[in-house]
Amino acid sequence: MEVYFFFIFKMDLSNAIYHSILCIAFIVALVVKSSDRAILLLRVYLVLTFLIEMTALYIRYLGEYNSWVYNIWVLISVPIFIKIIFSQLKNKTSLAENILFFTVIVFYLLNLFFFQGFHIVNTYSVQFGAIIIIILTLLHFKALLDSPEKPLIDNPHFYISIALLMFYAGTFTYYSFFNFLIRVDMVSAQEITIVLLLLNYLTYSLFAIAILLQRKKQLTHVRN
Amino acid sequence: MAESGVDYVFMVSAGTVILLLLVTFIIAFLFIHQRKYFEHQRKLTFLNAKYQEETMKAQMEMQEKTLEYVGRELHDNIGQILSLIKLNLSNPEADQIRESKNLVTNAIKDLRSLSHKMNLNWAAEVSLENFIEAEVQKIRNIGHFEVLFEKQGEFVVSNNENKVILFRIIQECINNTLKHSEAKQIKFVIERDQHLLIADDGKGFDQGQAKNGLGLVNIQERAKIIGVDLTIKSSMGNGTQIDILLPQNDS
Repeated sequence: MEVYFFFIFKMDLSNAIYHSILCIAFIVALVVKSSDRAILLLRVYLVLTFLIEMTALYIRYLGEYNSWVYNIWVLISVPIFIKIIFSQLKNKTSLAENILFFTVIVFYLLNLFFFQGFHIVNTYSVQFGAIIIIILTLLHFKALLDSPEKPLIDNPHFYISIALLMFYAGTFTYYSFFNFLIRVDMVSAQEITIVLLLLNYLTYSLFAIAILLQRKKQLTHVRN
Repeated sequence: MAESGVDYVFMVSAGTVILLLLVTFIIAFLFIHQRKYFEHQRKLTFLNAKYQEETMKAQMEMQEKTLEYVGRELHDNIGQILSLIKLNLSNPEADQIRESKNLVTNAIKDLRSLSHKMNLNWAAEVSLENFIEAEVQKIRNIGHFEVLFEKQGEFVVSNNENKVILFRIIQECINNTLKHSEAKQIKFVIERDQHLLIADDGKGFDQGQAKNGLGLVNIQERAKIIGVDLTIKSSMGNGTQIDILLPQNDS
């Protein structure tokens, strides 16, 4: 079933749902203020992601190839998530954070300019980023276990980590089979992207919840 | 094609297994965290109850000490003055009456001072530094010890409950020194960064043997409850040093 997103972009229903959820998350990121550093970075990420998705839609609407837009999104997203998770880790060193941050950027740029290029999906970058984010979220879970002062249900950073773990574990699995899938069965490869879309629904919903929770926490703190 | 079909099934199965593992991991994590959270809450409740109990105990002990002091003053000082007045007035002449008047004035002054000390809010009104100075003065009044008092920095607690507990800790340390140390010199130094040192040149004690004696465990426990870092260093023949370090963000 095909629908029109924003009355302009023709797409199937699953994609329209994805863009609607992203749009809601974008509005939440714009409207809901927060002083927490991680949430601030998440809001920046959501705004950038929305703008990138809209650009990609527009390029596809023009009938041109839009993979390069997603390659740039990969280049931006993982470093932001590294900053977000590191802001929640205990016993961290800024040296480790900076080394990881710049290693990822250098790796991505090298891959973008010299290996996979702009016009195919940079699967190596996605895989590399996914491994790093999965490891960091696991470290964050350990940090959460080590400091059980607050219930998880009220902790916005927990929702961010859950979203990242689910999304990047799914992404990693998907891209591990991506090249094989394209080679064997293009139709199946397209069908299975629904898994990525479902993960995106989950991720952006959890991000929006995290921002709203942080706002609620701030308001409660001010009232007390 | 059949082979690729098998691969495809394998891939979907692998994806499903990974997803299930993730969900299991998250649920298990939530359970473990929730258990730790409840454990932490129980510990906090216990510590809070312990803190309240220790505060109450310390307040009672402070009152007891104050009553003891007042009783002694009434007997040794006011009692003596009144006996003198009685003696003077048994044979009233101009000189005796004048002296009796002076004695009555002194007795009134001492009684005022005592009633001030009987005030239950006394602890809240006295600063830690003034309290230490008063204790130093009391030891000096005994006359058996050379007492040195040095002030290089600040030693301040804003929370009244914590202050009462600290009063008791300091009193207990002094009490131990006076009773057991056989010291000639006792030194009180308020150092920088909320740090108090109480040192004596007495006989010292074996820390291993005295671990459960001298109320040391009680002192340490009380210090821990209010977040004070208390270190006792002593060995036979080398005196005793007690370091009391207040938390930097006192509350």
